[in-house]
Parts: sequence; C-alpha cells; structure tokens
Amino acid sequence: MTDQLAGMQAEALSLIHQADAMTALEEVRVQYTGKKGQITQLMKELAGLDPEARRARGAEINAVKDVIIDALNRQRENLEAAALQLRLAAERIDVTLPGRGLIPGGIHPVNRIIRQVTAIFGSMGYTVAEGPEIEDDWHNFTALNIPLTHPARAMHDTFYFDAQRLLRTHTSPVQIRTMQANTPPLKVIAPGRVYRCDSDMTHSPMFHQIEVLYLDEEVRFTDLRATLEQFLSALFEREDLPIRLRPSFFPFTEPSAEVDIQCVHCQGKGCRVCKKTGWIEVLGSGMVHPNVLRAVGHDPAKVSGFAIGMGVERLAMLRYGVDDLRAFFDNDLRFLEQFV
Amino acid sequence: MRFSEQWLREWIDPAVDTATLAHRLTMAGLEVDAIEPAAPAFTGIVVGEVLSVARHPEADKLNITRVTDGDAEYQVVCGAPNVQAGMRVPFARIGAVLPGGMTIQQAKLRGVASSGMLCSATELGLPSDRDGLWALPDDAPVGADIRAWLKLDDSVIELGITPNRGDALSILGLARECATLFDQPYTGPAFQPPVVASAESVRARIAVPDDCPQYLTQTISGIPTDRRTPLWLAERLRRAGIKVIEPIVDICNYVMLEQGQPLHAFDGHKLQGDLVVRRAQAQEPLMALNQQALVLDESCLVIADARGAVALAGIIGGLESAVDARTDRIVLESAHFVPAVIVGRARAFGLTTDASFRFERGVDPCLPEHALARAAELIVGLLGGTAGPISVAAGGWVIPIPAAIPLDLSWAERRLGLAVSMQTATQYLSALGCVVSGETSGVLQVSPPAHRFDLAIPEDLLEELARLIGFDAFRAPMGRAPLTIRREPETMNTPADVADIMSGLGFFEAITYSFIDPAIAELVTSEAPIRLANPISSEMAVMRQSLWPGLLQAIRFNQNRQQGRVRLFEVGRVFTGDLDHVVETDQLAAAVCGSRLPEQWGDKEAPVDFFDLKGDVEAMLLGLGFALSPGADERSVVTFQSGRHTALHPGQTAEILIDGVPEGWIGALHPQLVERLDLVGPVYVFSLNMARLHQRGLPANRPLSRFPQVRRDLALLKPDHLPAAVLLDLIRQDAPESLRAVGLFDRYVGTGIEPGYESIALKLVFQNYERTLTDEEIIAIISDIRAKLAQHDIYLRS
Repeated sequence: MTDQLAGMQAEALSLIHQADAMTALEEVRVQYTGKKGQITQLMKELAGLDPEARRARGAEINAVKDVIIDALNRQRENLEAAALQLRLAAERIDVTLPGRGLIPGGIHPVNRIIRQVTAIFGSMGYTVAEGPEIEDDWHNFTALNIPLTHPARAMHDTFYFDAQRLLRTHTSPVQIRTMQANTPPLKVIAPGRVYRCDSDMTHSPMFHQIEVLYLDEEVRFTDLRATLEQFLSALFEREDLPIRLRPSFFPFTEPSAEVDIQCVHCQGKGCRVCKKTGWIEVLGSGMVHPNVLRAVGHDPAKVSGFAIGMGVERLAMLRYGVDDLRAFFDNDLRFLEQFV
Repeated sequence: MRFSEQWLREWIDPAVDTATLAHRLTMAGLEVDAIEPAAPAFTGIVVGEVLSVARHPEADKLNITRVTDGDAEYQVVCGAPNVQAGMRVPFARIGAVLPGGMTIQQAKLRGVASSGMLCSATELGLPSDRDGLWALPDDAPVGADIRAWLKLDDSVIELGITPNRGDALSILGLARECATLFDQPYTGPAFQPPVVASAESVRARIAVPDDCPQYLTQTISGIPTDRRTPLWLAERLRRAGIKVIEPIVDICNYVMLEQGQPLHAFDGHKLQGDLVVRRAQAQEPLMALNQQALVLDESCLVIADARGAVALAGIIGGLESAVDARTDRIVLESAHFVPAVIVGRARAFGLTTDASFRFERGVDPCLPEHALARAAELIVGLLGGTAGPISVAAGGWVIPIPAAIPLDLSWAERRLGLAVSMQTATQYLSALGCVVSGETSGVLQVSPPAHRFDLAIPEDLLEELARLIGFDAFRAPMGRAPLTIRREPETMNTPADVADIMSGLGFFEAITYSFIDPAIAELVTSEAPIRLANPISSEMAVMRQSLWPGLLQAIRFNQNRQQGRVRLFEVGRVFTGDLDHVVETDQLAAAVCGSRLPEQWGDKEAPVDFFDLKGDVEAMLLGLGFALSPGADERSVVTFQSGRHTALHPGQTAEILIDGVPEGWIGALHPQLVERLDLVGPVYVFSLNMARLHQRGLPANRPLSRFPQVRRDLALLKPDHLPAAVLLDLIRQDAPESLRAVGLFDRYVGTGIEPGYESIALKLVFQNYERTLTDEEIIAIISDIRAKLAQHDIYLRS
C-alpha cells in the first residue's frame, strides 16, 4: 500500500470516529465513497495503468474502501443505537400513574343472587317462568289453597287495588299459571318482585322471591331433599353443606318444610348470625298440595311435585354480609360499588 | 305462643333438658322462636316483713325501717313512698346480688346505717305497672328465698305455632304433643267441679246451630270484691305474656292457656233477660271491651241479651256487660264456635284477641264443659262465691266424629320416597289420638281426634308420619328424570346480557320501588297511573309507568351524599293502562349526571352531555347485535329522531326507533323537572322496551373484497335545521354498491360559515368486489351525490 492510501485510510477512519451525528457521518461517506469522493477518484485514475498494475492497485484501493465502508457502517449503527437510547430515555413515563378512561359499573346484589340461583337450577334443567305482578285474588290465594277465610291470609299483608286485584304477595302464583298452561313434566324457576304491606327494620314493602317448581309423575319427598342439598351446597360453594328440614306449614304444600343450612359464618358452632343455634333458615319448601293440583286441573293421583320458595334479600344478606334490608333499595353508590 | 316450661313439666316431664325439649319441638314442627329466663339472675333475696317504719331525721324522702327475715332483725333505710309496717316485701340482705350484678353492702344513708335493701318488682327485673316496693301477699312465707318461692328458675319458651296447629295453643295441647314425641303419658291437674249451691242461671238459646253447636253458661254469685289474683297464677300469666287484669278475667285467661278453650265472663247484673247466640243485624252497634265502637253486620256472630249484642262471639266481649272490680255475680260462658264464622272477622275490625286466634284455628269441641268446670272450680276455690247449675243450650248435640281417612301405605312410600311400615304408621297415628283400623289390608282407615282440625286428607297423615319419624330420615338419591338439553339460543339476548353491557359501560344497577309518588308520576307521564287502594305511604301510592322517577330519586339520594357523578340503570317492570287492562312491560332505563368520566389526571373534566349517553346507548345496542345503519346483514337498525316528551328538554329529546318502530326515549331531563325534583342538573336519561332487546341477529359472513379501498372526504354546507341523519340517509339512498361506508367526522359553525348553515365533514369509503375503482368512477359517484344533495340546499364547501 502506498503511503498515500494508508494516509487516506487513517484520515478517513479518524473522521468517521469523530462524526457524532448522522449528517456528519454522511458527509464523510460522500467525501470518500461518494460519486466525487476520494476513493471513487482513485478508481477513476486506474484507467491509465497497465493491466497488471491496475489489478494490484485496484485491489489495494478496494481493500481501503472496504475498511472505510465497514467503519462507516459500524459508526452508523453506533449512532443509531445512541439515538434510540436517547429517544427511549426521553419517552420514559411513570407507569404507576392511574390508567385512563371509564371504570365499570356493577350488578345489584339482589340480581346477582337471582342470576346465581337461576343458573344453578338451569343446570338441572329448570327454565325461567314469569307472571304478572298485578295479580288477582284467585291466582295469589284461592288456587294456592288459601281461601278467603284461611288464617294464613293474615300472614300476608296484601296491597290491594280493589276487591279482586292485588300486588302479588309471593311468586307462587307463577306456579299456578305455569301448571295451568302446561302439562308435566314441569321444571320451572320464577324469580321476581313481590309486595307486602309492611315496612320496618326487617320488612320492606317490596322484595324479591324465587319460586321453584318440579312436577312429574312420581316426584317424592326425598327428591325435594336431594335437590335442596345440591342447590344449597352449590349456592354457598360448600361441599356437603349440612342442611336441616323442619316441619312447617304452608297452605300450598304438604308436607311443608322450612329449610336451614348450617351457619356459614361459624360452621355450626353458634354465633351472632345464627343466634347461637348453629343453623340459619334460608327457605321454605314442600310437596305441592293436592288442592293446588286440583285447582289447576291436574290429578293428584297421577302427578306429584315439590315447590321451593326463597327470599332473595335474605340470601343476599347472608352471602354478602349485608345487615340492613333497606340498603338494597336506597341505591347508595357507595353500597352498589361493592358489587362489581 | 309463650309458656312457662315449669307449667308444662307439671303435666309431662320428659327426662331431657330445656334445649333438648326445644329442639324436639322444633323438629316436630312446633318451632321454638326463643327461650328466655323467667327472671334475670339474682341471689340472696328473701321475703322480708317490715316491722316498723320511722322517718329519717335528715331526709324527708327516706324512712328507717326494721325488717325481719324470720331469723333476725335488720335496720334498712328505704326511699319508697309505699313502705308500711306489716307489709311483706322482697328483701335483699347484705351479700345479695341484684340483676345486673350489683352486690348489696352495708351502707350509711345520710348518716344512718342500712343493712340491705327493700326491692320493687322492677329492681328484680320483673315487669310491673306499679311504682314502689313490691307488696307481696300477706301469706308470703317470711324468710323464704324469692326465687324458690316464686319458682323463678324457669324458662319461658316462645313457640311459633303454624296456623294448622290450633290444637297446640295450650299447655294441654303441648303436653299431648310431648306425650307423642317422648312416648310417655301426661297428667293434667286433678280438679272437682264446684258444688252447685245456688239455683241461679240464665237461659241461653242458639239461633244458628251451624255457627255455634254448643253454648254453656254457669252463674257464679257472691264473689267477694276484695279478691286478689294469686301470685302463682299471675306469674304464669306473666310468663305466658298475658297481662294481669282482674282476678275473674285472669282465671278465664289461665284456663284458656291451660286447656285451650277461650272463656268469657259477663257481669251477671249487667245482662237483661235471656241470652241468644245469633248473627248480628246490619249496623248493629257494640262497644267492645277495648273501648272500640264496632258496627256489626250479618257476617258477625254475636251473643245478645234482651237489649242487643253483648259480645262478638269468640272474639271480644262488650264493655257494658264487662266484669270489673265491683262485680260480684258473673255469667261464665264456654262455647264452641266453628272456625268459619270467626275467621277473618277480628282482623276486619283490626282486632287480634287470644280468643279469636284460637277459634279461627279450631278449638276442640269436646272442651267447653270441661273448661267451664275448671274455671268455675278456680273462681269458687280461689276467690269464693256460689256456683249455679250449668245451663246447656242445644242440649243433645253430639260431637261429630270426623270421617275416617284412608291411608294407602304403598302410595305413602311413592310420595315420601321411603317405606313406612304398618306398625310404625299405626303406632304414631294412634299416639296422636287417631283411631286406626284396617291393618290387614295395606290401607289404613284413620279417624283423627276432634282436636285435630288439620287432619282431613291422606296427605295430612303423610305429613304427620313424616314429621314424627323425623324429616331427617327422608334421604334418598334423586329419582330418575329424562335428560333434556337446555336451550340458550345465540339469537337471544338475556336480561343479564343487557345488564352486563350496561355495567361494562360504567353504569351501576339500581332497584327502585314499583310504587311511586303520584306527584312525581304526574311530572313524567301524562296518563293516569294505577292506584293502590291501601298504599303504605302517599309517596308510594301509584304503580310506576316509567323507571325514571325511581332512578331520579336515587340520583338525588346520591347527590345529597356528595356524589357528583352518578350513573344508574334499572331493568324492571312498568305498569300502564288501567286496572281492567293492565299492561306490564319490562323496561331498561338509565340516568346520568356529573362528569363524563370519573375524575382523573389525564383527561380534562367535562360535564356529561346528550351525546355521551347516546354513545352509551349505541354502544350497548351494538353489543346486543343491533346496527346503527342499514347493512347487508339481518341486524335490526336503530335510529334516533327528534321528539317531544313531557319529562324531557324539548330541544334535547330523541325517540329511539328499532326498525322504524318507536321503542324508547333519550334526552336531557326538562330543566323544570330538575328543579322540581331538587336535582343538580343537567341529568340525562333514556329508556328502552326490554322485550325488543331480546332478539338479536345471527352474524352472517360476507366475502371480503381483495381490491383496495379508497377514502374521500367531503366538506359540506347544509342548512342547520336539516338533521344530520337526513343528510346521511340521502347519501345512502340508492347509493351504488361501491360506496361501502359513510361517516360523519366533523361539524363546524361560526366564522366563515354563512348564518343558517353548518359545515359537516364526511368521509366516504369506496371499494368494489370485482376490480380496483378508477378515479373517474369515484368522481362520478361523488358528482351524483352532489347533485342529489343540491336539491336539499346542501353544497360542497368552497
């Protein structure tokens, strides 16, 4: 290599290393490898040499050119990397600042329970049935074996519109309408609003019930218990949750049972929630009374069934630890926000 | 029903503790609601006799007494005004512990030593309507421990007796039940009817034997007027939750509690002529014992004397013939009234009496004579007086024997899911007092006892067997049922789907009352609402025709609690039409106020407006499978058009149409309504018919074009009265297939725009399925559009 070439290479490499910006680097590139660059110029001068010398000289120039191009590329990568680092540093954000936009709302606890119970019975083949909230006396009472003179009517403080029409006091009239319109086998669940003319700490004039009805050729009392066991342990998410059936009285079922679960707060040891009994009443149930079947045109000798009725607010209170019934209908955001 | 456990145990004393007894009753269907001690804990209090009383030299209101407990004398300073020498009172000696835990110590009161304390009933934790020291009877045994003497170590058990078990509303009934549950006999108190020592009687006649098959009376005269209710009897009444009123009345109540037969005593001097049991005449008046002036009708059964009704049979006596402290002659009534003639009558007058409570549920028809004898014995024996003969109206009436109920045990097994043996069935039913026969046939013939009004059909017997065997025994795996697949169609939205989208959009679900204030209802809807006949309050008197009033009330509730931004929705029923044509529809509604977004660092706070809520409605409907503009698929199309609604701002109201049919409203709440409801406005609301949201289209795929799409933007000037929707419709109408989409992305009014016009920026998206569109084709389409728009005074902005 001639000194001239060696000097040019050294100078070029020095200029490349000194270039601290893309534009400066580009100037260096043009200065050496551009159309009028020094290397290009040297290449042009080769034309005047004899073939042997041209080959040797050409190889020398190309070697220098390769070194320069290589240095240019490396410096370009370095500059790009440095520029990226700078940009990334400049774009740094505080990722702990809160996110932007809407926050989701929530579903009312009463409807959460209704959904859950409906889903559980749905998995057993029960379908949702509905009925009017403004009912007549026959569907709400008479057909359910509650004649006008029955003392059980005193247990229902009824809102009336006139002598015949009223706000349903329970979801049981949906049973009646379902049985009237369909033939067994019937598996229905009827959630909805019900009304009683009563208002204090533990009573709301409006609340929610869920009615469950199973009617078929041979439904037995033991089937009721088996259904309740499965349902309650699914609802409270406790395997083998102990339950207890206590004889009770409802005009539309016989035998009738009030159903307790083992207290889910103290596991039956006795606490404030279960009033030290270890048990919590959760619903009422029983075998459909033959008078009810007759009222809707079914033959009690041929079909039998069970009915279950539960108070949704009561279940919601137990499940979510709500201790004031009125909280369900105040619609206080601070209350609702807990149910997302 | 409340009762003293001791009292029951005098009749039957199973070898179990209180808790076990209560558990057994509960599990047999007589639910124990509560168990309370008959008296709070206290010790060391005895019967003391006050020997002397002297004024305290230093205090006007204090006395220095000398008291004996039978063994020693004590000096006790006492502040009660009724202290008297000779009286017997509860005496807490040094070391006695009062309810609440206070221990009596040697004390000095205004310089005078006091060794103990004389007590009032209240200080012993016992209810009393008298002030001052508890004056015990003169025969109270001095020195006796009060707890032991009054048998206060007792539990009061409260039962929730279901309406079918009227037979259990007495000590006798409970003893009978326990006899079955514990398989041991019971014994009631032995008593002798009083000797008939006078000939005095009244004649009674039954005019309505179907209502009252048996009516017995007995006259007792010469009852001393200085009578007192024995303390033991008063205590039993107290523990049963029955007030001590007057000795004769107290004994009647006592016998009712013991035997289950309600009794009534008339003042014998206040009756005139014969008694008759009859239906009341229309408008017949009766002043009841509780001073309530009743106006009776033909549905009421009364006892009448020569002047008129003296008692509402089986429910309440009349004031004019009532026993009082001066009464010395009574006519005691013991009768059987059938439930049908009593039921509901008391409630119709707003009364609940212990008598009507029992007669409504059915009282054993065998009881009247027995209970009358018991009451007469107690009155003559405890108070004094002379009994006349028992007078029986409708003599010769025999207690009807209920028809035998067939019980097929194989049927019982099919219904219960568990076999009940002939022997078990016979044993339990006999224990209940039923007469059982037919043991060889497999079908038992069961005649229930007269006191079990609830046993009439085989199912009744099934229930008895199940509860006596114990419900816990009835366990078996589920019976077989056919397997069917539940349908959850993809083309249906459930109410839960709707609610989930709403909650995803930041709304909280509310539940508001179905009955609302008519004054508010009137502001929201113009039709008359359906009215409740007996509302719980005037603010909850009419059925809602809209969900808005409830939601607005909830908004106010939250605004009053420093919540500026509220977003609520509800899915619920509204009631329209009139009572004879009620239409119940499920609606979805929402109300919002406050800022658009929750307060946050990265976004400038802006108040929510119409288009925010409209955007929510659109987002929800898109999520439910609706389209906002017509397309090639089957989705229903939602459109909005300007409208008028009573509750909404006239310039910010839109009707929501689905496939051209009105299904809802959206708008700003009318400023006047905001003011009337005391809200911080603006408030925006919408409502939609839920039924219309159930159906959703099935998604349908369309092949995608392989050719590039082209976008052209147009800046248009349109008259400002022309709705944007009309402009978009005009462009979409008869548009060539190559015009794939039209969108509005800017709107401007102001400088540079001619008054009466607004500038609208549209984007048009072109794409063809077969080829790449040429500029010439696009220009041609746009030129057609421009021509069409020009007819409506819409021009390209230059």
